[in-house]
This record gives sequence, structure tokens and C-alpha cells, in this order.
Amino acid sequence: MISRQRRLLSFPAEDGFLINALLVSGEFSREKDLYDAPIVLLVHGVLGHFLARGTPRLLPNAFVENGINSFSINTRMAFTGQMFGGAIFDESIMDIEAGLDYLVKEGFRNIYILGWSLGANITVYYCANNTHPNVRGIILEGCSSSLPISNKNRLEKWNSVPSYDHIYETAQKVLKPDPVTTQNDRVFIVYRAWGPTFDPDDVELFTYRTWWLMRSPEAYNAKTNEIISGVKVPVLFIHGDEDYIVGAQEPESLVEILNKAGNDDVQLTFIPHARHDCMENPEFTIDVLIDWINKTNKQFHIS
Amino acid sequence: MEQELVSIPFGKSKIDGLYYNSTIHSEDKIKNDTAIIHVHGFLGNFLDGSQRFLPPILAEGGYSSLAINTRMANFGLFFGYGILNDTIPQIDRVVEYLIELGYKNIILSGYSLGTSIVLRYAALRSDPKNFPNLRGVITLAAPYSMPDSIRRRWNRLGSEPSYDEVFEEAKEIIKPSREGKGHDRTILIYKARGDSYRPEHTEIYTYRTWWYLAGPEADTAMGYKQIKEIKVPILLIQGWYDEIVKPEETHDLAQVALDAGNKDVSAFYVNAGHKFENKEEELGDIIVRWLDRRFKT
Repeated sequence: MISRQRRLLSFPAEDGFLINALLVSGEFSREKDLYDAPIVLLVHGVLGHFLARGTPRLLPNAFVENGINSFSINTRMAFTGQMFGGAIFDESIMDIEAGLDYLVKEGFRNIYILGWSLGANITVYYCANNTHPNVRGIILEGCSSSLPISNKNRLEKWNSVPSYDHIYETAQKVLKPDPVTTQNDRVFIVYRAWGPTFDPDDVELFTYRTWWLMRSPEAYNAKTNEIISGVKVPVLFIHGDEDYIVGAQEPESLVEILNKAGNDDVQLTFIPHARHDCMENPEFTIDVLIDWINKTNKQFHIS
Repeated sequence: MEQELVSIPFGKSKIDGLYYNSTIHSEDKIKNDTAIIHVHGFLGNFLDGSQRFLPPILAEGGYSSLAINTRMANFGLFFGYGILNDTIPQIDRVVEYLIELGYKNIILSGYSLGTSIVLRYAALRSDPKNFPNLRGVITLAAPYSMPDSIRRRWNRLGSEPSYDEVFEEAKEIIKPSREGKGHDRTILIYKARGDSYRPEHTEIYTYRTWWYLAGPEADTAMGYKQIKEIKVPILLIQGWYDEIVKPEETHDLAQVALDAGNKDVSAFYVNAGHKFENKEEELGDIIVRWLDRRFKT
């Protein structure tokens, strides 16, 4: 008998960044069953981590109750990374790669990646550029069609201080000579980024370099709509039908792009009574996830 | 050692922690009934620094640990809810949790900013009749006074804005409701931790979190005012090459505690910087020996 596990693990990415991860697996009668069962690699959202409220915190327990294992990783985008310079969007796919390698070394064979919010955009970037033989499909929750456009629209909506265009201008000056390779960087605050006040709840914090590679007009790899056509594995979008952060048309447009690119194994399901976090309606969300995993995983049926 | 992620119910929320249960028992198979609570430093959490490396070393010595995230963990200081005094009920709950697990002797250990939390807690809970389980305090890199330490550092580095400028602005921004929510705002201090504008030399607060941690009226964060109230054994450990907290601050804190009548105050210096890098084992050995002399079953 393989007993239930809830293990904290640490391992390095290719460049040495230390990833902390939480493995949650269920009870299985044989070791083979454990490794044949699906496992979902979970990637958190903005300022997130594997204990952050909502999906990161709730989904692993809900999964394990239903026979699905999970592996939640804290990427370099976790915690305060975007405020102190470590959260470079383009480099975060090294963390996904390291997570997948770790799971394969452990013996897991049927891996899904679930990215929530920012994690969804990272997941698309990874899968558009990598074909991992053990990845059976990806789940994108609350996925923005483009992080730069999403940021620009939000900052304009709330009349942020400074404005999106002003940040862009300043970033070009601070990040000389080349934003990608420069050693020059600086923290900045955007007031009224998430709401109409100057209160801390409505601010956003970045360094110019983390912003440049995640939110600026030149953050090419964060423009999910421009790269998602490269994703060839099955894709499930789940989206809260009351999500006011990412509009419903965004995942709809991404589905269309995937279909046009020849990927027909794409499903979009709106989760009723949920906002940006689909686990606001856990029963419905779990049912959708299990149905879809069963559909894509022929070797192992979850009842 | 067994390791377990725990979420301790606390009102409507939870306190997250990483529990390290030592499986090293005494020769007569009795489990050690002393446990250590570890409190993180500035922007820290239980996955980082001494919170992460000390518990396994202590577990080898027979001591279980619970490393916790308080309200001041991660970005609590940036978004307004990281107020030092608000961590007290959280620690009360963690102490209660460990007592429920069967531990009788609770030792509080804090690192850097966490030393302000544990000294404040132990000062408020110094009455042994009401708080008999709190049996000792360990500080790692403790500033004599967090506000003074920050003011000196900012003035030395020429921070932008200056300490006095932040104080003046804070007075305007958060009054008249210093105790209430007020109109708080997030602020950046460049050149606060080094002489450049780079992110690693920048500090981030809200006026309110700054007020209660670094402001000139932040008595709760002045270690010397708290330590003199503490009657349980105190162990202070300090890196000799620490550039954030000066070594003499530990000496001065120990002196205040001794002058106040505490008969069990120890201070150790380690050949290390603020993070005790490469001296993890040595740090652990000092703590285990100190614990053994007082609490070994």
C-alpha cells in the first residue's frame, strides 16, 4: 500500500534558482498505480505561491480527494520576485522544465500542467516552445490573452499613476543599454493599478526589468495570443463567468487561434458563480477537470 | 525527523507553518517536550534562511520546531497589514497549538526583524503564572532598536527619501487615525540597504507599517525596551561581520537584560554576516547546547 503524501521538496532549476514545491499524492494499492495516475503540475499567479489563497491552496486537496496527484511549484515569479528583480518571465519556463524533470525522475508518467492567471501565460509560453513527452495536456485558468495589453487596459481604466506609457518611457531610460542584458534596474510603484484609490490594496510593484519582460509592449513571450498557436497538446480553459480581471472574450479568442492553428483538442468551460478564481465554485470546477482529464488520459480512469 | 506543512486555524484565517517533528528520543525512549517556534526576518517566510536551515539541525539534537509565517511575512509590510503588535495573538495561537501537541517548554526564536517580534511577545507574556510554557528566547541578529538601526542605516547611506522626510510624511498621512485604517500609502526607500538604486538596496513599506516598525515612536520594535521585561533565559547570537546589525548591539541588549535582573542571558558571536551563511551547523550547535543545558529531558 502506498500511503497518502504531502511532501515539501526543493530542487534547482537549470540556472541554479531553488524551487520549492509541494507534492500531494493519494493512497494507492501499488507503486505502479501511483505513477500511472495523473499528476497536475500547478503554477501560481501574480505574487503567488503554493499556499496562496484560492486555486493554489484549495486545488491540491480537492484533487487528491478525487484520485489526482498534484505538484505545486513556487517559480521565480513567486512571492516578491517581481518587486526585487528575480521574476524574469522568460526565465520562468526553466522552473516548469525543472518541475517536469523532477516528476519524471520520481516515476510519474502522465503529467498535466495547470497554470492559474499569470501561471497560465507561463504555461503557454513553455508549451509553445517545448514538447515534453510526458505532458498530456494543459489547463489554463483565468488566462489573459496578452499580459502587456491586459496591464495597459487595467492601468488606463483606473487612470494609474504613473500611466502605462510613462512607465514604458521611464523603463527605456533606466534599462539602458539593453533591457535584457542590463545590470541597471529599479523598483517602482504604480498607484491606482487595481482600483480607484492610492491605498496599498490598489498598488502594483515591479522592477523596470521584471515589468519590461512581463508587461511592456516588448514582452513578446507574455503576448499569449501571439504564441499560443505553437501549443499542440490538448488544452482546457476554465474561466469564472464573473471574472472581472480577465474578460470572457480573452479565452474565447485564444480558443479560436488554437483551432485555426490546427489544434482541435481544445475546450473552454465557464465556471458559474466564480470570479478570477474558479475554486470559488469547487464542485463544478473539479467535475470539469476530472471529466477532461479522463477524456485525455486513456490509460487511467478516475471515477 | 518528520516534516509536515501545517495550517493552524486562527479566527477566520490560518497561520501557515512547517512543523519539524524530531524523532530523536532520549535513551529511555522519552520524547523531548521542548519545541522551538521560528519567526522569519524582513520579507521572509518559513521556506527561507534560518527558518529553513535551523529546524533540521535542531531536530538532530532532539528538538522539534515549528517555523511560521506571521502577518509580517512576505509582503505584509508593503500592503499595510504587517503590524508588529498584530503578530502577538498569532503567536499565542501557535504556542497553544504546540501545547495541544504535548509540548511543555516553548522556546521562541526570531531572526533579524523576527527578533523584534519575539522580544515583544516575550515581554508581553513574561508573567510565568499566566504563561508557564514560554521558557526561553533566542535571537539571531537582533537590532538593539529596530527604529534606531533603520534610521542610522538610512542616514549613513543617504537614503531617498531620508528617514526624517518619511517621518514627516507619515505623520501627515496616517493621522488622525494612527490606530485605525487611515489613508495609508505604499512607499519606496531607495539606497536603504546599500549605496545604489538597485532593487536589492531598496526597502518597501506603507506609512503605517513603517510607523509601527521603524518610526521613532515604534516602542514595540525597540528591542532594548522589550528585553528588560523578559525573565526567561535568553540566548543572543550575532554575526561578527553583519553589515545590517552591528555586533555591539547584541552586547548592549545583553547588558540591558542583565541590568534588569535576568540571571540567564548568553551572547555568542559567530564568524559570519547577517545571514549566517556557511555557519549553519555552528549556529545549530550553539543552540542545541544551550537548549540541552536547560531543557534536556
